[in-house]
Amino acid sequence: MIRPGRRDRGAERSLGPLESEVMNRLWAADAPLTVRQMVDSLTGKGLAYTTVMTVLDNLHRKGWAQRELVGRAYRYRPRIGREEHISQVMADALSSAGDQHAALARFVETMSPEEAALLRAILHDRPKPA
Amino acid sequence: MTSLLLLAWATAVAVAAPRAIAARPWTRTAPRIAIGLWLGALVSATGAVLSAGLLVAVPPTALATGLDGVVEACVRALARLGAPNETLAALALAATAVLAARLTISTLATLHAARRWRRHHLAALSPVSRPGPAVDCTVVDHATPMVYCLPGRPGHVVVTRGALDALTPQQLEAVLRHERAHLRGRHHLLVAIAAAFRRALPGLPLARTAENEIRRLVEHLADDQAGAQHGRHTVAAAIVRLAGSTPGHALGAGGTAADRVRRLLTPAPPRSPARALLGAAVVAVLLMFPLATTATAAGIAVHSATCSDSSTSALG
Repeated sequence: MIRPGRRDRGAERSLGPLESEVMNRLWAADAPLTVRQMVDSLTGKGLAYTTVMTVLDNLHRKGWAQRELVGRAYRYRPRIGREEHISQVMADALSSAGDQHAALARFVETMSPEEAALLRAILHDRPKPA
Repeated sequence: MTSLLLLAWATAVAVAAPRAIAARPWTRTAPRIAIGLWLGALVSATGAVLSAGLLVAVPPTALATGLDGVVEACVRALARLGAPNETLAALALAATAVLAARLTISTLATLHAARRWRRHHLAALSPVSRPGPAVDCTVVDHATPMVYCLPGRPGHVVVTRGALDALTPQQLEAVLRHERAHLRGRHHLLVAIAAAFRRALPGLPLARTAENEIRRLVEHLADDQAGAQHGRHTVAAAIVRLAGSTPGHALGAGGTAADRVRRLLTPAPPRSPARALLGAAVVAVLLMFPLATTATAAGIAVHSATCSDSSTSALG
């Protein structure tokens, strides 16, 4: 059995509300952001600089964000784009990996287009009973 | 003697169950009974083999004296390895231990892998999902229509924006009811147990058929519950809506969705108490036979050892 490593531990924990918000702001930004820029974009929330710094550091440690040192400050950007991330997660849900040990249950399995058309016809012929 | 009887029972169950239950028309109208029979058959066959091995390894008299006697007999069998009788006992002991260990490990591994997969998946969903139209429902901003549930405490139903767009409000309610039936009925545990048996006994057709059938039957169960509340036609329409718009993926179980739609377009099966009672009785016999046989063997051995001078007990 594969033992979860340090990285996996982070990947197994859901992001909290603040982490999620910061991550979504990273996704929405056009360019990598410094901690200061992130604090500024979160104005009105009354968040301390150190709090935001910790959140960004966590996102980096958990593998959500990448950072590079520009001058004396880190600039953070998402590891992959939001759309791409969602596509990966959904592909994961469609893959057979979760099936093997009954980790999830999908509402429908695949049906060929011909079969779907045939069933639509059957449904149409048998209208909903009043 | 008793061991041979138990092995014969296990063989009979393993051969007969797939023929008697798999794909029978009545399983479509009584999915709950069919699931009980499948699990009963799995437990009965493996329980009989385990008991048979134990009876060979441990003399029934020792079995009757409880755990101390069993442990003592096992130690003796291993210590005297080489003597003809004890070698057979040691072999039986080893086979029993291997089978028991395989079943235990594969069950734990299956459940652990599922929990791990779900934890990863929920973590990955966390920043891209938002609360849905119901408390237990999460919406993901994705165009492909998909609905699935993640069992656990609490369970989650994940719905994509594409699915919300594709379904009417009534159909959405029916789909959510279907997923909640899975979550509340703990259907994933039934599937996980069957999957664990299949992993532990990869060559056994009974285990393979049982898993495939239980996967199909829990869908029928959930369809029936959704249909009872929101109308079977609505559930059928929701399946066609979502199946028709989901891009095909390679490993889908072909034909099950179509089968479900056809089934939902026929009236709900009437409740049959007599059939439920018969099903429960068969499950009880399946579960009790190996236990009762082993207990009887132990009981007779003790009786003949204490009540008569002759030590000609041919049991075991």
